[in-house]
Order: sequence, then structure tokens, then C-alpha cells
Amino acid sequence: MPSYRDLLQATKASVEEVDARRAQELLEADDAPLLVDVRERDEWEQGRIPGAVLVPRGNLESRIENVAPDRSRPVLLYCAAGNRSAFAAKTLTELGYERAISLAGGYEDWKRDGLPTELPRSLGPERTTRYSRHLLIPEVGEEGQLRLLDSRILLIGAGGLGSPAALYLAAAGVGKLGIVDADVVDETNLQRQIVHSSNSLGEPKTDSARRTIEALNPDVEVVPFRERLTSENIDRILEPGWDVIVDGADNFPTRYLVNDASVWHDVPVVHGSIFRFEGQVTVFKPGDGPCYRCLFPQPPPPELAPSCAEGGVLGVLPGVIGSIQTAEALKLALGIGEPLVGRLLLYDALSGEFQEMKLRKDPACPVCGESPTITDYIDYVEFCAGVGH
Amino acid sequence: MRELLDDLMGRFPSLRGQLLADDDLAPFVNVYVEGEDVRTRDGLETPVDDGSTVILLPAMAGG
Repeated sequence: MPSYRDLLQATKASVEEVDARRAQELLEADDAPLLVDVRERDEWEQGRIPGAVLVPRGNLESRIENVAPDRSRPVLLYCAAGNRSAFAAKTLTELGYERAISLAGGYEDWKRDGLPTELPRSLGPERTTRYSRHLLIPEVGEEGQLRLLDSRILLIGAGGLGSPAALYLAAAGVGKLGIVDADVVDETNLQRQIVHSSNSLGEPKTDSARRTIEALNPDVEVVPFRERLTSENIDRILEPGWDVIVDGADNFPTRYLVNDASVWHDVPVVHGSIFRFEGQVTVFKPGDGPCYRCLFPQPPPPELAPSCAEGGVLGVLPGVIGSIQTAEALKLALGIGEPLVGRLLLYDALSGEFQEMKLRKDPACPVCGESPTITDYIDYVEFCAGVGH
Repeated sequence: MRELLDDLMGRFPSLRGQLLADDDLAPFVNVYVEGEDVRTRDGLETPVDDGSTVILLPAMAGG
């Protein structure tokens, strides 16, 4: 009966082996092999060869087809010292892979030769559990979840729309949430602004929202801006860099500032607005579709633009619209799906209907058009007095 | 479209100021026929067929 040593020797003799230098040459070639790490997850987490995919030896037969569906593409396997990868190469040959190569000396030799390694990021056990329902979705997975944890989303307003957005973005594990709001929580807010509660009456909305978010998910860093957005502070607030802006402002001056800034800073805006039973959602993505001014070149006169404070709003409406905004923001952060760019979704709670309208980039748009006439921020505050809050 | 809006404004006179400016569509309202902005077609002269869906989309700021 052959010993382990005999079996290993026989296996090594029957498979193609390369040393670390030769492996690197193969990986740098145009027709590079697929690099598969067959070690266990805990070894992988301590360092790996860049570009490798993890398929532990124990799962090799069942999982390899998912990562390497094309059996004609060479596969380069490695483990710690070159033994498990030799057995793995033999198995792949038996599975019909045309060229399975084992890295002799394994990761240890690779490292010893000073070849590049990287520390892979992984979620770790707690986050793997917390985000398990995301991890199960192929479009998100561990990589997507790590991307969310790295993403930075700025919320304009912690009111009706900002509340569900803050909660769901936080729950989703968006790593950094900026919140711009100058208001304090008052009793009339609580009918719809679910990030706040009776306990936070009189408190700045940024503080109240931050407390709720931190209790929901400690992975999220909240960056509060307890100020009203103006032409003076908007560049400073956008300066740290945001991946997506979720516009849940309650007044026109802010919406035009956000639009103009987003075009100049090249940040996509997920726009939502609500009134009574109706809401609108769209995505303004600079360079890729229209902006708010393509749709509405200038704000309506104040007497024609009642705010929620004057016109009322069904409490759940911002829940619907703010949640759709959140779905769009997450899609943008993950780089998946078809964002609502160039499309406006109109929801009417009374009729229970959604309508979709096509939005087109206006070549004559004063901000994003061919010859812009607006090149500096405009504070509409003065002649929109009375609108808002 | 002009005919349709005239009829509507006849029935709801206060709409006039919300829809028109200088006898054309106001810059803070958009009108869609079958999901298409009439400004990208023939503006107020855009034909409207029987059974078409017309949407008046006002700028809303509420949040």
C-alpha cells in the first residue's frame, strides 16, 4: 500500500509544476491562466497572490466549474507549499481541464522570492452574519458588501425622504453617511420622519439621526453637517468626496444648489420630491443624462410652490419615495442594474399608480448644456422666502 | 395640447398661472404625452390622440 509520501511523489510526477518565477511569467502573459488558491479561508485571509480566487481544496470538485467554466483555459493552482495544489491539479485533469498547473513550493516560495502579495479584505464572521442576505445575492456578494462599506453617501435633509434613506443606507452597511440638516426635531415631523422619535424632540436632526443610525449599525460613520446648504458652504461640504448624493431637501433653493454643485463636482444625485399623495424620483448623473435644470430650468415663483408645511403630505409617501431613492443610491454605489437616469418615476398613492416619463438632456441647459450661462452658485433664498421647512 | 389645456384652465381657472407664462408652457412645469415631453415634440401644438395619457408634471420641492 503506498504511503502519503509515495502518493505525493507520484502525483507530483504526473502533473505540470512550475516554480514561482515561471508562475509569475505565466500570470503576466496575455493568455494568463486562472489563478486558484486551494488553501483554507483562514490561510487566504492572511495573504494571497494578487488576482487569485479562493476555492479550498475540500470544495474543489464542486466549485471549480463556477469559477472556471472554460476547461480549455489553463488553471494555475497554489497552496502553502505545493502539495495540496499538486493533488488539486491532478483532480482538475481528471475533470477534463486541459492544463492544470501546480505552483511548486506554493505561497511560501512565492513570498520568499519577494513576489507581490496582498492582504485580501474580507468581512469577518460578524459582518458575514449581519449582511448575509446581501451576500446571498450574486450581484452584491462579499465584494459588493465591501464596496458598500467603502462607499460615501451624502444625504441632503434628514426629514421625510432622508429618514428612510438614512435607515436603509445604514442598515445596508454604507460606510460613511453625511447628513446635511440645520433643523431641530419638532412634533409635526414625527408623522413621517421615522429616523427621529418622541425622545428627540428639540434635538438637532443631525444628532437625532446619528443616534438612530449608530444604534442600528455601528459599521456606519455619520458625518453631520448641522447647517443649511448655501452657496458659501456647499463646496466645503462636497469637498471630502461623495459617491452619491441623495436629495431629500424641502425647498427649491437647496435643490438648485445641489444640482449645480453635482454637475460641477461630478457626483450623481438621486432626486426625490413629494407633495400630498404624489412623489417623483429620478437620478441625475452628470455626463450621462439630464440634470435638474434640464427638467426645470428655474424654480417656480414662491406663491406657486407650496411646501409640505403648507400643503401637507401623507406620512407614508416619503417612505415609498425615500426607499426608491435608497434603492437607486445602492445601485449606483454597487455599480449594478439600470439606474433611473433619464427616466422619472411618478408615484400617485391615491390611484396606486406608477408612471414613467422620459427625461432628455437639454443642449441649451444653463448648467450642463453646451454653452452654460450659469457658472456660479445662485442663492434663490431671497426671492423664494417663505418656501421650505 | 393647447386645446386640451384651454379646456382644463376653463374649468379650473387658477391653473392658468401654474401652467402658462407668456402664452407658452411655464419653465417650472413639464407636460408629457405618452411619457414624452411635449417640448421635445411640437410644444403646445403637439397632437394628442384619443385615449392618450397626458401628465402635467409640476416642480415639487417637498422632502
